[in-house]
Formats: sequence, C-alpha cells, structure tokens
Amino acid sequence: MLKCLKVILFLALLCGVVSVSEAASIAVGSVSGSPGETILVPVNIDDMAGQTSCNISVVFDSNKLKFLGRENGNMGAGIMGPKLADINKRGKYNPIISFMGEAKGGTIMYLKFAVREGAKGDVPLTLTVPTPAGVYNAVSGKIMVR
Amino acid sequence: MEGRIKRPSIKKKGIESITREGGFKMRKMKSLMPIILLSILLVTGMASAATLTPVGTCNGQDKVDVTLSVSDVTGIIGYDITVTGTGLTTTTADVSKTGSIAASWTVFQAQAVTGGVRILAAGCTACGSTGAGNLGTITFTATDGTVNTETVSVTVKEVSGGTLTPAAMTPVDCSPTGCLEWTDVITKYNAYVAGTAEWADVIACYNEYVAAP
Repeated sequence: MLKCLKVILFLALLCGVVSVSEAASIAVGSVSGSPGETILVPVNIDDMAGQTSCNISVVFDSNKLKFLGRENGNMGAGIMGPKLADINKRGKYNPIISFMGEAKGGTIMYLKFAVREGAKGDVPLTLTVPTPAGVYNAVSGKIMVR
Repeated sequence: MEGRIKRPSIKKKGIESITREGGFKMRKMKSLMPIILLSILLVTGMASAATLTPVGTCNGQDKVDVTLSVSDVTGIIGYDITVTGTGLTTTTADVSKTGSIAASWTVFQAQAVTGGVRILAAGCTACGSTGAGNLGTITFTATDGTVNTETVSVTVKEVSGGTLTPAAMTPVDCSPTGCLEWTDVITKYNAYVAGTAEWADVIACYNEYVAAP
C-alpha cells in the first residue's frame, strides 16, 4: 500500500514538473532608478511556444514614468508599436512583435523609461498578452524608485 | 518513225490501281480531316494558352507591387515586356529578381520608360522548364503620392521571344484601409491571427497609421 502511494506521489510530482516546464512565459523585468534617470527594462521570453508573433501590453503610470522608446534585444524580433505621444497619453505600450530570428528565447527588447520628478515607491509595469490568448504566462515587472 | 516520241505505256491495270488507291487515300484523308484540323487547333491553342498576367497588390501608401505571373513557361527562351501604369513611375532598381523562375534567366534587366519599365530577358539556363511561375515583382511608385486614393491599372504592352499572351492587370484599389489609430492596427493583427487577413495587410495598416497625422 505504501509502495503504491509512493508511486502515485512520484507520478504526480512528475506531472507537475512537466506541466511547469511546458508553460512559456513573457516577463517584464524589475529595475530600480531615481527621478530624472533613464532606465532600461528588459522584456524577456523563455520560449516562443511555436508562435511567430504576439501582441503584448505594458501598462504604466504615466504620471510617474515617461516612455522614451525601446531598444532591440538579442532575438532580432520585429516590433511595431504605437506612436510615443499615444503611449504616454494612455500609459500603455502594446506593440506587435514578430519573432524573426532562430532563437527560441531571449530578450525581445528593452523598454526605455524616464522617472519623472516626484515619483516615489514602486511603479508597476503590468504585463498582459492579449494575443495569442492563453499561450504565455505574463509576468509583470516594476520600477523601484529610490 | 524517227522523231516520234515513244511515251511510256501504262497498263490499264496499273492506271486502275493508282486511281483506286489514290481515291481510297483521298477518301481516308477526308474522313481524317476533322481530326487533323482539331489536332492543329489544339496544338496551336496549347502554344498560345500561356499567359503573362500582372498581379497587383498595394504596398504601403505610395507604392503598388506588380508580380508578373506566367501560366506556363514551356518553350519560352526570352521576353521583352513593357509594363506601364497611370500616374506611376518606377526605376530599374524596383524590379525584383525574386520571382520563382526568374533565377533561371541569365539576363534580367529593366530600363525605365515613360510611366513604367521595360524588362528584357533572354537565354535561360534552365531551358526546358515547364509549368507556372512568376518572373519577378516590380514596385511602382506614385508620382503624385496618391496611390492610396486611386485605382491603379497596369497592362503588359509588348511580349516577344515567346508564346506568352499578355493580359490586363485586374485594377487594384489602394484606397485607405482606415487605419488611423493604433487600435485599428491591433484589429488588423487580430484578423491576421484569426486567418482572415494577410501579414501584408497588417503592415499596410501599420504604414497607414504611421503616415497619419
């Protein structure tokens, strides 16, 4: 009986490990900075999960941060996004990303923010992946204002 | 007897034989005539069936791509085509050699002519190729920058060195797609993901959004 339970437990653990390893994720990094400073925040993907493109959304407090643009990561991804004025007006950066390189994962891009004067505490960078839905775990990040 | 020409005598049997066999052949020929005529028509028809069709697609705000599609390249060893479009201009640099069968041509040159481009090609290294393909793509640019608001029509004016029959291009309506806001681009992208739009449509939409004031 005990042996049988052990086998069941082992199988359950194995299933858990497998299911965790199959979950692809896109994550926004957490970086600290001071008011007036320009900060680069990485957006990473660990597995493209067979997708050739996606649409992500990063929401931020535009009263505390100013989006300045993006810099390329190491994946050679093609990125097209809204105009800067639109991004800062809405406090949302939701680009379309095309995975063009052969890399399975890596840094898609770096988001460039300026911390506005008077900003304090943690400023969340809330990530969602609207398209494709249900494929990626979205891991949000934050900017910790010193 | 001198001076008389001695004609070769033909035996009656021989004459009858010739007449009978000749008549039989003529009758046989007459009966076969429709089949022979049909064969000639078929062969001629097959030879002239190959068509060169310019296919246009909008490429951003001021450009239209024209791909020269060939229904059958059998027997073609060269061509001389002039493609023009109303209100359009192009340069030799705008002619792409990336067509599916363009690589088989040893010469693929283009020269700008009024309102279009003249393409010259000859001497294929893969003579004997058969089947359909495309010779390449030409990108036309609107001289007035208004391709996006007018219908573009391009025709092939001259073809030589082969059995291609030029066909008129189906007009391309490059009207604005209404992509003025970023949400329009996302909508187009979602349509692409859903399989109801092409990636080129997303790019065109994005280009229009970027160009919008």
